[in-house]
Amino acid sequence: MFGDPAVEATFVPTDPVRQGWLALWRSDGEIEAPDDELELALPAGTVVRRRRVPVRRLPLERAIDPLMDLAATATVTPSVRAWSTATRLAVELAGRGRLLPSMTAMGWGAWYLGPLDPDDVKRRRRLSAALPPAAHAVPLLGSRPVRVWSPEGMVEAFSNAVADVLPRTAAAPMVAGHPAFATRNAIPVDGAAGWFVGLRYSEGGASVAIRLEPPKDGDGPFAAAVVVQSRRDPSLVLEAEELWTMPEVVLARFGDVETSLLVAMRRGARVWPPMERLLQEARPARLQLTDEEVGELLGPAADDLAAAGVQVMWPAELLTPVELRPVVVTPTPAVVTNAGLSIEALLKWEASIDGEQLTDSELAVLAEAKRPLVRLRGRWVRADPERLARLGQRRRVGAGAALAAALGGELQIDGERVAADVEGPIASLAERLRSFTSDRVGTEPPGLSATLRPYQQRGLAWLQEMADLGLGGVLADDMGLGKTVQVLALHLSRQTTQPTLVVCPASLIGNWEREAARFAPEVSVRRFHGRERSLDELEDGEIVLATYGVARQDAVALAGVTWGLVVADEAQAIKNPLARTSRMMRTIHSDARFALTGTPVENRLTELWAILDWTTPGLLGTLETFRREVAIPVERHRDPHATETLSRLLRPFLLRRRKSDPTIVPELPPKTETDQVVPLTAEQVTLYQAVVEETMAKIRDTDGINRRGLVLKLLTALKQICNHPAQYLDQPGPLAGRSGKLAGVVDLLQVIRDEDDAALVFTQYVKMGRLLEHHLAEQGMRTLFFHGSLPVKRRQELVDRFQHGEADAFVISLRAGGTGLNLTRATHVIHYDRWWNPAVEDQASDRTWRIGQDRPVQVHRMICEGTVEDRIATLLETKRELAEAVVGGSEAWVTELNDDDLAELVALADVAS
Amino acid sequence: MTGRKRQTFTTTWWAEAWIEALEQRASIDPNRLPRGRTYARQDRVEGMVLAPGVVSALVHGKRPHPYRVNVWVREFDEGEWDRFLDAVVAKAAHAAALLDGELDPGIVDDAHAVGVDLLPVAGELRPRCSCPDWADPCKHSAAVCYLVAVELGRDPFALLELRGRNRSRVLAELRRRRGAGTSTEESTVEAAPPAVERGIPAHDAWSREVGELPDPPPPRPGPGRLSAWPVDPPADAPFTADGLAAIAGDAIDRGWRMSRGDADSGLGLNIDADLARRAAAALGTDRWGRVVERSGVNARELVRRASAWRHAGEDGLRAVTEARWRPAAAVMVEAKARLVEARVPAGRIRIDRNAVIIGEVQLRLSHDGRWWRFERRSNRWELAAPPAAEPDELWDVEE
Repeated sequence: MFGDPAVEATFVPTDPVRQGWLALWRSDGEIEAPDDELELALPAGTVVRRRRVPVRRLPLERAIDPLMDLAATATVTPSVRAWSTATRLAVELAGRGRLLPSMTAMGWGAWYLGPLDPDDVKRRRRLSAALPPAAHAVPLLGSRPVRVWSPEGMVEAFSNAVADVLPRTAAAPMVAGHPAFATRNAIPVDGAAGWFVGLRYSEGGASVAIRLEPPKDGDGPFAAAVVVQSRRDPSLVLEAEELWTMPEVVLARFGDVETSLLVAMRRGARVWPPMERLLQEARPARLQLTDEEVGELLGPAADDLAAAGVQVMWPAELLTPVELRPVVVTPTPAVVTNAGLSIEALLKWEASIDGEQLTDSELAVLAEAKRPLVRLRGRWVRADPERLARLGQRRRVGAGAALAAALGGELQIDGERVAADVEGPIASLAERLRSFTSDRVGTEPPGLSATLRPYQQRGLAWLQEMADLGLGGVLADDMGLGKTVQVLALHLSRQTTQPTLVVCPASLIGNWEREAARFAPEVSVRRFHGRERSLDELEDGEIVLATYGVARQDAVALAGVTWGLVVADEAQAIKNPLARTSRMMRTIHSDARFALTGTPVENRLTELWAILDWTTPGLLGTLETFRREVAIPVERHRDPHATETLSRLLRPFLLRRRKSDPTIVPELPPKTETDQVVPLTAEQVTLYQAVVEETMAKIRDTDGINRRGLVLKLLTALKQICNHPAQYLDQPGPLAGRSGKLAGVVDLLQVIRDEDDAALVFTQYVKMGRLLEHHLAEQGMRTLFFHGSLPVKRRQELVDRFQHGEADAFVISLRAGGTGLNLTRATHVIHYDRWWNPAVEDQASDRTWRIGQDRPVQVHRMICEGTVEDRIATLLETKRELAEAVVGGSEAWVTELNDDDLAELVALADVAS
Repeated sequence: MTGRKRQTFTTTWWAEAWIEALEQRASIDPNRLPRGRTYARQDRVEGMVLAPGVVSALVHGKRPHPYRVNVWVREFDEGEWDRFLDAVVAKAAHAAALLDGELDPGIVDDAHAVGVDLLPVAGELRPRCSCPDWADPCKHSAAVCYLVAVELGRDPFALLELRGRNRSRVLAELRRRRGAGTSTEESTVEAAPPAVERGIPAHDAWSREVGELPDPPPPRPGPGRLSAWPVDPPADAPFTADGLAAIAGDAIDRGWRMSRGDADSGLGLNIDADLARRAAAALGTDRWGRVVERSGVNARELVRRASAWRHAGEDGLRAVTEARWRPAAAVMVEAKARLVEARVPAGRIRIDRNAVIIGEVQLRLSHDGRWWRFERRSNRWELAAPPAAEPDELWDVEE
């Protein structure tokens, strides 16, 4: 909605207030799709003139959500930013219960925000002072020289409009039993005009407060003085005692102060009966309080009074808090071993006031105090029995939480974050983590048949350190940086016979198997998959591959093995902590757990929480507290303290390198090619086998030109089945859940989009291109489809749109025919199906389509596991001469194969074994 | 006077007392009163003015020219006013109530104790009308008296005005009695600054310096409570205290959740979705009965929707209300294969359109490709869990 960074927003107030709307316009030209015109007072050279500008109308009920959600980092004009802040202030007030019914000048019912606390008034004033002119440049009718709405007036109108819109959801009239104050229509309420006048009083010219006063002698009762504060000039504060004898001319500065004071006291007495005693006096000024009443004012009674228009003021001297500082200690001296997380920690408390530590006898005084406020070291100290009860507590702290406290300096206790000191081995562990330097390099272990790039060596060192400490972590390198090979190197470098478990989506099992065979050829790898799966007779140092589905169903069997490492690939799968998969993954234990992900998890804090809570349980505390104390302050309020604490805490546990990092780029080859091996669905398997059986029978009975035709037809049919059953069966849909390849491409594109990148997707079939375009768009992917029958002008237009970042995927179904098209925005190329001709594919990947420019490019080739696609890919790789034979794009060599060789080529291999 | 029809003239006890005085006076000839009420309802009274000691108005009768009505009320003498004001000023509660639009019975009692009766008794009320009717009161003056009752109900100061002193004079006298004015100091403070300016010169708007935006206050631990209303809305208002509380309570809750980043405004929901949302919030509270009654939806069905909302919000509601459909057969075969893989005996699995049925459990596929677990409860299929990407995620091995 506010995606265009040049859009200005001006509020246009109306009566009824809720029908006010935001006019969206641009100062540098016409807004897209305008639906109205609006006269604004805009600068023209040195003067300001009325000018009609095209605007798009945004009714408030549709503006509230996007304004609430506007990211702190979004690029928007100051006017949009200001309305976002105004919305948040108004919604916060509503959430605090400050909603009152009222009547507009025209006699319509309207909700408005009140009463406002002095702090609310201050915030509103700061907002008005920060309101940019474009936000309020609405000219007043007939003013000459032109006058515009004041920022104060505009902020008030907007805030009350938000308050009036918010309650009126669709079913409100039904649940209320009447349309007034519930529907979006204008409903007259002037019959009850007098009632609204009564409500308005609480907002008079003065705000009323009771200010607590300490007793003159230590044992005497507390008292509260009644004071009033001018709303227009908050520096004017007056004791009620003086007020009753004040000359009227002074009182005038407070507005109708007596009315404000008397009515506020009366309303206060309704929510907090002790105030009634004030009303029984002729000139109420001071209220004697019992200790119990003082206690009430320290609790929720203060909020109720504020909502009734009476503030409770606590002089600083009355509120010296007892600071409780937790200290985390380890009872016995322990060494940090590779079981770092099993250290036991205890929590004890130290109490201080104003930084001075309290003695045990003073604490005893506090703990036994009968009054809510106690005199100690010359100060009044709040004795909060619930908090003080903690002092006696000694309790265990999870090692994760203790470590978090050591790293971040804060401990989460009973859902609260408090500063904490950590002593002993955990402090040393934290120190070791902090001092781990990123330039440490791991040496390639024996048995690794790959040369690690420098950043991969650094990654290996980090993985080794975290595994040795038993802490685990999240390796979040960009896709293509080789997370798999780093994990394989870690597995090989572990001096242990314990097996490693890798859990990943079904679409990645094949990849893992292949990469393991390539980079760690001596390690045995087993798929724990299929009906016949078993964990019997695990070899020393074996790698077991399982899907999330299997991990979910067979967690009990998996948990029975003593694993050295458990690795969760595409760990987004466990981002929902409540889902069964995540729960089951928690039951599988090992020395260390690592999560691999290619998406930028650090930007989605609750997902990051779920992943880290699996790798390193307890580190981030409970989800609920993490959301409240960290995720929301960081993501929404840009709280610098929370952000800093979080980053100190995460730094040791999260390793993320971007392909675009200046230090990484020189270490990367200009082009990386990977095969993405994906499984077939049950439907694909059935179709595939049926076609092979039927056609092979015919082929055996035929020869010559007819045989050749049948073979080519068979190849085409199998390729189409691999692509999508709908392509083979010539159906328009449905598409979801029927093709392993399509699912694999969607997963891949999601990662690419999350990296803020885009991809070219090549297919040789126009029909498949259309299916892709349709399905990707349905998945919320912005997709463009480029094919041979497009007119030249339209082709250029699509290319331009892609280059402007208007699409995540550019589907191309074309033999490499175009020339020199610039598609440099993409650094990913996906070959949905194969030409079986490296030259054609290369041409597609980089010559004809200039992609990536000077950035490293990744080419992904989709291959259905165990099918003819897979078989030919292997052949091409192993038999160079064959590769040369097929240059020219002909598949004729296949037709030359004898029946048995052909049958072997197209037979579907049983991959589950 | 507005043009609205009134069903009753009084909602406050003191306006009631006024009517009572009128009715006592009319005891000799009671049949004029109902006609007076009708006249008042027919808007035959115009130009009513309340002044010290008298209410005057024109009333349209059967003749072309309106009759002039004066209702005389006995004014307090100086001594009575002194005693009355002394009684009021003795307790701040009295003035507070008056300013809050209420005539506290305590005021009347305290005044009575010093021999002053605020509410006129029959003899203190003397209606005079220019009509030829000999009745006392005639229907014209009765009509005026009824409308005076309305006025008194709205503003108790009107009663004091009839007794001889208007609001500002009464307030000034009260202030003087509290001790103001005893101070002889001359004030050097200038008059109050002007209220918020609605407009500023456009040129200033574009040349002023703008400051930094404020941060919203940190989120509260829970939603706020609705501010207490001093008095319930009048009986003839087009809304009720209960209805307002239902609307505001829900908005407060949403506002709080929005501030925490937990929810959106719900303003985009259609009426069914919004009802399900509100029902989900009310389920298990004392508001539930009222929501069911006002929704017009069968209670069992509303429970079904509310619990769907609790599991998965709008998507959950769609899952329970969307029509059954027929996905590609292969998709359902695939789902069955996954469940068999998850060790569900193939014999227990039945497929019906978009559902895989295993005993009392249905795993349904929605159009967006997600799976939903339904369980049969009181003969209805109810949503039992949030959705999952795969059917076997919704099935426990132990089942």
